[in-house]
Amino acid sequence: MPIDRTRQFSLPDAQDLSKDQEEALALPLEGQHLIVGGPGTGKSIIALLRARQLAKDKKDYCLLVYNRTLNTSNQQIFGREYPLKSNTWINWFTREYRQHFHEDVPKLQRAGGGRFLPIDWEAVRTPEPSPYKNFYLLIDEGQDMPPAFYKTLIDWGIENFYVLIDQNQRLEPEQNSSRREIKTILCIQRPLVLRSNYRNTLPIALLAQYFYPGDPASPRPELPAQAPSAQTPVLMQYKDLQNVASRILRFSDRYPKKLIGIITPTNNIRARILASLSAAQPPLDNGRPPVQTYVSGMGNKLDFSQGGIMVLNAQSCKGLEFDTAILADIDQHWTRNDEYLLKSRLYVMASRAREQLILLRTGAPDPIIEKLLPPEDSGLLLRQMS
Amino acid sequence: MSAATPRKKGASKTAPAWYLASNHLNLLHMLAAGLVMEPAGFGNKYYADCLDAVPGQVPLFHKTVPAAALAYAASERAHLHPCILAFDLTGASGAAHALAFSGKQHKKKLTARMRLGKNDACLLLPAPLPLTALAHVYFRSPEDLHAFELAAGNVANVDTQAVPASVDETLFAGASAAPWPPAQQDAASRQGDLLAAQEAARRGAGNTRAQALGGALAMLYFGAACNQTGVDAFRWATGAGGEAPAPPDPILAQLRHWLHGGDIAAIEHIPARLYWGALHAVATGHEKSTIDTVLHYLEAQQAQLADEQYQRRLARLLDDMRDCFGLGSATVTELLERNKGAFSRAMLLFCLRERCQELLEFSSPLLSDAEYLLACLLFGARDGWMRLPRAMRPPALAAYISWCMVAHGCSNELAFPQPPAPLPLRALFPQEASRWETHHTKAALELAQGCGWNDCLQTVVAPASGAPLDEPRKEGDVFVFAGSARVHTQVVHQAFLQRLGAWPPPNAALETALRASLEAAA
Repeated sequence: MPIDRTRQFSLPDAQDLSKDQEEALALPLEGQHLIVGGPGTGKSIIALLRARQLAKDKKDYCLLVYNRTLNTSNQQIFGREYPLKSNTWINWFTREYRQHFHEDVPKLQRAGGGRFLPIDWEAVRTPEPSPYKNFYLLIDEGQDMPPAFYKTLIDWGIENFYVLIDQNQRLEPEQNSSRREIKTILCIQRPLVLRSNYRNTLPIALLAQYFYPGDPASPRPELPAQAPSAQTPVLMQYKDLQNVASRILRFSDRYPKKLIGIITPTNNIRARILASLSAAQPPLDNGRPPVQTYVSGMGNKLDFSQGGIMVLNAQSCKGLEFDTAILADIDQHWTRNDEYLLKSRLYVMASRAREQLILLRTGAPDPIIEKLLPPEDSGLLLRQMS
Repeated sequence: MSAATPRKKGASKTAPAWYLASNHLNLLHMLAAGLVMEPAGFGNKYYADCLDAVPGQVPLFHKTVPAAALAYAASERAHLHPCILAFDLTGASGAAHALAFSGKQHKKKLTARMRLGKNDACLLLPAPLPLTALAHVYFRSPEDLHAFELAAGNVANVDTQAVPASVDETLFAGASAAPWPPAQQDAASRQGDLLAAQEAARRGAGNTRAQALGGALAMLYFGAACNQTGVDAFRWATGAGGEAPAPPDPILAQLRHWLHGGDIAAIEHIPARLYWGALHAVATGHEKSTIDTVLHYLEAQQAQLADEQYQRRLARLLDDMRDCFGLGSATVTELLERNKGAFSRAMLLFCLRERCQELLEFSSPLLSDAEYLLACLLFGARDGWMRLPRAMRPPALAAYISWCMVAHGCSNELAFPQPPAPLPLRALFPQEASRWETHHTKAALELAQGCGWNDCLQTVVAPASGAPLDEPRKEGDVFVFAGSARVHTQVVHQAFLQRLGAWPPPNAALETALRASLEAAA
């Protein structure tokens, strides 16, 4: 019988939700609510729990996200106990518009052409009477949608909003919404702030904090409590990539339900690791684990519902999380001359790991990277040789 | 506590009259922990309520609750809903205290007829209390009860069926005007800072051990569903269903010694001493991750081992355990093959899986029953009762574990009536098919059909008369037999016993009904 690799949404334990998260979940279903939190503070889990409440109460709702990958991940891991109604904001809006007006959403014409045309918000029509009186809209990654989107939703008569935003995102006016804009448009009195790290174990959070670039505009999340089986992150120096690929396959074989994300500095290294994984043939207990890859613009759909290996480069890992994250060839990041950017990237990559974090390096260590790593006696990072 | 929970009005007339004022989220935490704890037991998430009045003590009000105590219990955050926990202290015994309005404490002997004096604000019982003493939970309004049910639905480790809850406005409306908390504490009962800190640390260690003990016993119960060795070990350890012989495995045979707080260093059998020492380290250490705790403990033991053979084997095991925390280089099969013996394999599994549920989902033909059970105990001690999911909290087991955590886990001076230890489900079905009676067959069939365990069911088609049946013809998904036949579904005995140990366990309602019918038939 093939091994069961199914990953499913699991509810948090009572002691694992923070007071802020409990307050966010206790907000009334009706009305407008804004939840603000840094990366890893559990915004997406709160959005899913809220969706679960609405589904349980048989309410008409939809959970919107910006990122197609996050939507896929939500859909796949939510399970079948309750139906998850979710979409990307752009797909949802386009579909709703076509349903109401039997025509496409008006777009702005660009002088230079190009495939992507922005929505002409000025020309967008309003359905009368509003079909959204008893509709509940949940929006995750809410900072990534434009202010005009929120204004349109208000014009359309939507009254029940539950918006979760990351305060740390870099904003582009007209394309993204600031906390203040959302607050003003939705008439929200007091946004609720999530402060605690929810995603990572304590040892991973401690290492991620070590890389924290120290941006005063985005306070780092508070550390999580110690979990019993938490493991200290490992830095492994290797010589032979083929050997490492075999080890990664065996690692996946030992933990068949874990989703392992290999995050690479460049596309070339991504392709090289992928090729090594294909070529490696170590003896395994459970057969070869599924290996997936993702390149921006490739249009492939990732499967988050099964354990296995996912190889992607650092630019594509934002918003994703893995049971185990392997940061490959850490000395090869192109931002190595800019310490701030490098720290930011290490911070983002390290905080993708939920349970286990492994850093790989090969060849001579880059002195700038080495300087950014915690000292050996800090206990934050165990150093191993392949 | 489902939507169908009866919302009784005036229920307080028949309810026990010892009350604790708290809020719905602290209640949730206590249901997860299986204990009514002092604030330290809540880790880093405790909402202010009456439990913080006297360190290490649970304040219980008699007949009415001060309005100030209710207001205080919901004062920390706007999303809190007050609730009243009603306790039934029948059968409880030991030394307690009463707290006077003046702040003075005086001793009270806990009896069924005990009452407070007119100058007493509340009774103080040493924490923690078992949930078996919690008889009912009252909310002020249907909205408050609904908020509690919603919050419980958002978490994995609370079974609200464990305690009945209802709405009783009168209990809240009739709250007394008594002050809370009392103005000052009794100077004589106040301890110096150092003493108080030592006492708090002792209680904290007690709570950690209690959780580990609860988790270990629960995992033994579920591990026992997989094999007869487990059934016998659980019966021997808990006395469930009468006396049972000690397990033949020398490590498992020390389980009672650990449960009753015996001295680990006094165990002569080396693997047993190492195993129980490691488990004890897991059960009492909470500063580091448990894996680091175990590795440090075993490294220290390695240096002290006089026997070279044991030293070599332990060194290899430690290498393999450490190897699990990087990319590693071996498969599970290779690791189990090069580390034989119950102690080594239990330790390896400890590194290869993280949560109890993951171990219950895991199987390997290389593992013996005892090896698996020892891993179960270790996993249970690591997760503690608190981290076990709802599916692992059937009411009878939850009640027994809660009692055990107080009786054996902490050094609580109070004694509470002991609930019976439930037999693991497998113990209700004889191992040999020849010993199955009609009621076993009927119950197994109901369970297998109710749970959709098709792999342990088969359908028998027999001729109605003496003449043999012809070969059937297939029409789509249907087999058609010529003539008349008798059809019945039966349980495949061995497959059924094996299925009893597989994850997930049968749902609690089905299991409860099944136990009742088997007990009635027996």
